[in-house]
Amino acid sequence: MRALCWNGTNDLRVERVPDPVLVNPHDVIVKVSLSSVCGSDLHLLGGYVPTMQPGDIIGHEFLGEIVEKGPEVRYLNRGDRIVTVSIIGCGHCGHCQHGDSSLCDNSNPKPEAARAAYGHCGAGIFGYSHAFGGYAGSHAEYVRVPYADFNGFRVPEGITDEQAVFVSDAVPTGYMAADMAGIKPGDVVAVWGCGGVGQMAMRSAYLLGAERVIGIDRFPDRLRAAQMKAGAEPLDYTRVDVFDALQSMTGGRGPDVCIDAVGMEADSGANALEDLYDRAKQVVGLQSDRPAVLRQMIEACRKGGTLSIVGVYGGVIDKFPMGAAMNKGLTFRMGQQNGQRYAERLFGHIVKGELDPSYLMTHRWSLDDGPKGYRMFKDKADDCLRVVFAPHA
Amino acid sequence: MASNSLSASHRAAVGPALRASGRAGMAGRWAAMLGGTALGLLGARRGGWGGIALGAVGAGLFLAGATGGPLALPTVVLPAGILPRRRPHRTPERTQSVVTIAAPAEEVYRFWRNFANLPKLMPWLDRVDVLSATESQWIAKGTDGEPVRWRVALDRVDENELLTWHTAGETPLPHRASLMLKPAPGDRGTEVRLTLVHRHPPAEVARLLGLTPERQAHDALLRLKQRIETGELSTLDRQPHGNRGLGLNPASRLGGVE
Repeated sequence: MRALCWNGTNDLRVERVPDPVLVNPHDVIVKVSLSSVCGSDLHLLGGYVPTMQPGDIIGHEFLGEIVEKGPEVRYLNRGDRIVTVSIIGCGHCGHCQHGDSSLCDNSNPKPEAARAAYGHCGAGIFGYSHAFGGYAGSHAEYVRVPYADFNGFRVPEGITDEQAVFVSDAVPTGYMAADMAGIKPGDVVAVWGCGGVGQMAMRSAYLLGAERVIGIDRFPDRLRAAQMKAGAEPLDYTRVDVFDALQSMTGGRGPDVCIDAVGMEADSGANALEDLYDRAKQVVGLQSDRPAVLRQMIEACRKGGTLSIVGVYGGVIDKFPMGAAMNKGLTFRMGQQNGQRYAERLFGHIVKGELDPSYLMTHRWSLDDGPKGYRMFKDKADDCLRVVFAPHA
Repeated sequence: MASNSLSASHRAAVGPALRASGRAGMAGRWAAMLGGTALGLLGARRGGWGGIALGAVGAGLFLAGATGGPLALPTVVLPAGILPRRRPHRTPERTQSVVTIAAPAEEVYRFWRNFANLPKLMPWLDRVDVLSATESQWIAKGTDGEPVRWRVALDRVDENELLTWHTAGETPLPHRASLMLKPAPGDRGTEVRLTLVHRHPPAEVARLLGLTPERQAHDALLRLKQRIETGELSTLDRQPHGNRGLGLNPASRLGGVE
């Protein structure tokens, strides 16, 4: 089959590789119909996530049809149209049983690297480096899905492929950001990052009762989409001081909830000195992640407010304003998405017309255009929110 | 996963960065060079040992920027290095590993009690032959190709709580071991603790079996947990991937960036 393989920093190639096979009794093989790029892939491309190996197939947000199933798969069947959660849970360990499947004890076949770096290891992720299990990704014609009954969700009638594919990752990540924050009616929610996940967080914040949602970015097309599609009030951080603007919009209180949908490659906007400082330290390895968004959220958030972090961080940060966080009594919630907990609920919102993530798919391309697609996504050219590959088109 | 990079450098770095694979983007490199220069100047003004140290860091920073040093390397080195070092064991011959399994003690105990199951958890074992109610013969693969054998006698058998055993007779690897089961608090299942006490130092055990006792205990419990909880072992066996050797076999390629 054909697959999009990582070969080094900013080096992606479409290669011919063997087809995946059933290995474990709970596996299925999915024929991939749609597979989306994701902002977190840019960390892999940029070389910020260690433990990638040349030849690794990337991609983790996908939809397809089951063509083979293992002898112990009970609920899913050949021919089912399923969306698969990008972070793999086993469904049986204590974390999975409590809905925290991204913390799964069992799905990472290579726990040593993550244990050494983090103390404990998290779940395996499709196509996301060997620290996260080294699973082959979904930018391919076929993919093996382990623990299929737990990770695969049959897409209900009435939901299109274009809507369903994002229930794999972008939608549950945004929804979880809003859910973790414990939004109460009347809350003002500020979301840093107006990409696909940020916009899903904005929409979810409204679904969970937020009164106002503010979206922060610097790309005009993304700010426009956040406003038109997700109903957010746009804030361009290259034009205004984010702290001042947020205080002014909230009667001096600050937002009740601040959501980070950016992660480790943030820049510091107008503050060139801070940006220079963070980049220099990242280059020489004094820190691996740039925490500009975190610093801004801590400063801007209202006293006693909640910071909800779904933007990906991988290593260590420097100059973290712990004093401000402590003395303002802030609550921090964070984590990789637990999509298995949300998938059915999200289908419900989509069927009722309360949520339609299909507009994130601004480009639908052949898998052969993979390298070009990632370049465009990275450049944010042509108003690109998501390039989605159709490997069998 | 969420991430849309808001970085100004990306616009500037897009062209060159795509070509300069594995290297820092232009903006990052300039940042490092400028930062390095600043530190160097600061060091020169300060003088003394502190100044020299600052200057050295500055020079390193400048060099990293100027040569476009690899960005991925620090992320590999840093996180592991920053965690507090674990204290080495005082008695290296004794090793212990512990894991919580989301299952009742009976289920865990039943699986382990049948020693013939153990090669499923310890791939370095070829097989275990159960000789009687208390005796068994263990045959390991051995790193030099020669099988390593030892006879094991059970000592204590407290159902669902404790199992202890030791090697009996002549063996290159005299050791004793125990498996302790204890209910975990709340509804978390069972805490399982495996202890191995060897007469030889860990390096000697690793020379014969390929793994240190610490790694043996840890890996065995990990597999035990996966088998009990999910009925299978997570694996990358037979999974597809592209070309592992950079630039080899170009015939397999259908297209690419460059």
